[in-house]
Amino acid sequence: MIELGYYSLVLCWVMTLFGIVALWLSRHQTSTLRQTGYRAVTASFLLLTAASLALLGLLATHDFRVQYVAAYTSLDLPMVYVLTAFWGGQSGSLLLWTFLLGLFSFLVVVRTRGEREQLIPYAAVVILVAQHFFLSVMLYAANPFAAVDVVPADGRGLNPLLQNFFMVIHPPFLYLGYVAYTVPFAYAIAALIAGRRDSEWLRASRPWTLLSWVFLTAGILLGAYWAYIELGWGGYWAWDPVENASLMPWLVGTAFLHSVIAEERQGLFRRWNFALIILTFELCIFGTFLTRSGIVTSVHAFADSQMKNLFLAFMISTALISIGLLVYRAAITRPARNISTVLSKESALLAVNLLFLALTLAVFWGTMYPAFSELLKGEKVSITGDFFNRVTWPLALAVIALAAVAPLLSWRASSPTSLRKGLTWPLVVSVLFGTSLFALGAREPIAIAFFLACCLMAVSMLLEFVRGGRSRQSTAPGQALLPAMVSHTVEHRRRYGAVTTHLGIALTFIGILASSTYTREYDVTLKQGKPASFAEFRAELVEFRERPEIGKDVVFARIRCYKDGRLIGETQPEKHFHRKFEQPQTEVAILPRLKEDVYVVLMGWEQDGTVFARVNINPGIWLLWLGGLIILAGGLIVMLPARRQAATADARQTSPVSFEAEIVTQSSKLE
Amino acid sequence: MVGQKEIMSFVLIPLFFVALIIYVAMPLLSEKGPQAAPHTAPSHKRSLSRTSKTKR
Repeated sequence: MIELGYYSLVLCWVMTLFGIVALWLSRHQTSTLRQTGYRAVTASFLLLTAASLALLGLLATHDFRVQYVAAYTSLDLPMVYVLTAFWGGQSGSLLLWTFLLGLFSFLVVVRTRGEREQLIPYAAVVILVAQHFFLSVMLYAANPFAAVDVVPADGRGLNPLLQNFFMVIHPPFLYLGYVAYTVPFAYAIAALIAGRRDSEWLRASRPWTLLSWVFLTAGILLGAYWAYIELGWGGYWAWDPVENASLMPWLVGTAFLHSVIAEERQGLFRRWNFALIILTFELCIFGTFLTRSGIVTSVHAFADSQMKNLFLAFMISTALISIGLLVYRAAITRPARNISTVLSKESALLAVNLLFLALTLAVFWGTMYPAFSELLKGEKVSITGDFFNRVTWPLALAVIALAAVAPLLSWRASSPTSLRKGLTWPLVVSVLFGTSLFALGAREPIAIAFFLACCLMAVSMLLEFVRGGRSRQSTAPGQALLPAMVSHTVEHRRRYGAVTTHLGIALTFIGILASSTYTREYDVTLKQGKPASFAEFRAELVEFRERPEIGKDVVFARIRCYKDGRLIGETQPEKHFHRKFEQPQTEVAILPRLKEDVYVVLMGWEQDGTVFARVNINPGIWLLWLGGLIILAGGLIVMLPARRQAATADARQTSPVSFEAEIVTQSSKLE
Repeated sequence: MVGQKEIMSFVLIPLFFVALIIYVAMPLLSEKGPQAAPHTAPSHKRSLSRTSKTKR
């Protein structure tokens, strides 16, 4: 299997190079050479599948002749973690990335062959170039099939922190998001090379943009949830460089998702959209560069300085080529028109875009400042979460406030009267909400402002559903409001999927805000028969002992928690001492409740049975996870294919640019 | 005796690779020479030639 894996990679390297040459040479005419190029795409996908299956086989059979298998698995590791160690290390995760590139290039070629013949060869070349780069990195610096000098009797095993269900599924989701952004980028570059004046590349890349965004969002949320339940510091986001590396492409990708609407509907922001997708792609590569180069210190990073130069060279060369193309094609990327008035949907979209970019810049600066400082001044500094919070919160507040107002604005120009009318109810509800928060004791101005903005956004989004239902009722009299809302939403999935996502964002922010502003932390000392009280809570130690398990010893404490004198549940925080890893691992115990999470960590103990625990009371955190699920549901609703007739009618009514392009495409087909 | 491993390494894997290479090269290998060009000529050229015939 080692031979199958390694030689599949080698042949795939040759095949992608051949595919790049064949597709480039046949770019001006359909020919047998182009067919060969397409077949090379299929063959490289099959070869990458073979290589991936070979690695899985080697992992499953504990073949410790392979360095990767020996470094990340062991005989006592449960099979699920043995198989998911595939992406637990440097070279395996590179293979996963390359496999996904192979899969996506195959899907692009197979799904759209014959439809977009002017774009596909170029797009396939771009994806193949990325694939070729990753294959070269693997073969040169991180071969997953490299053999060990002396075969060990057992492997080192997987880092215990990674032995968690959410950590098993978090990297593939994140990688799916990162890698899928290569496709919209490839279409954009294809449109620039081909000199296309229409927005065909946007239509072609639309499902991929949505797919990437949904996967990246899911990946980030899963990572946050894993950090919350596994790392034991009470939070879910630490502004770690690797976390920031996933946030940056998400921010720019979100800006791109919004600004493409302006191009599709009004022919605006053409050049801007090209720039945004190029930046998103570069940030995806930057993310993996940051993780693999070792230039920043992170709990998640694979430090390997050999990778640094390779990724840096790829990033700089792709950025230079992309910017060069954008400048060279400046004439054809000119927008159909410019923004005419401030009070319009396009102005709001532009403002949201700029805010997203400002957020990205702030996160980039905070992440890279320690590296820049070391490079320029020779001194190592660290940027704390406080910097990120202070810079990003006001910007995020402005984004939320704009998101509450933007759906009420019209294209080209809006009347202040209609805006006032649309905002009346959301404002009334928000003020009532703010007043009740004040009455409950909230005094922090930024927190209150945030809650008001989130409430404004949530109510504004809910009213969108009601307005949709009402408009449905006007065409189908006698229908009740709720069924009318549902049928209107089903019919206009794209719009209401986006509204659902915005509703989820509002809930997520309320959860983030509540849990970060009002979290409380208590250090509690417990002994059997000696309960401890803190604020309105009381904790009672029921049992404290050690139990041996396969490959580790587990120390645990069984603690009963009471609130206002009433039992709310029993928790069992643990400390795991793995025989193969020096660092003990904390297993957090969480009592999830509607009002707050009671988060208990076993910190230490003494010989006489005294137990030291840290208890965090995290209010409203479930809103963050619920909001995350709603965001993803909204994203999936947008991705559902629209009914053909409704979609065409929608496009004709609302999308002059795309309709024009459709006419051009159809007339060119007739010719 | 030839084991399963040897069959895999020396027969199946090379066969898989050769099959893939043939699959990719097939369109080029089966391409007809220049004399077959009119058969694959683009449709607009054919229509042009028909037009000229009608005019004549």
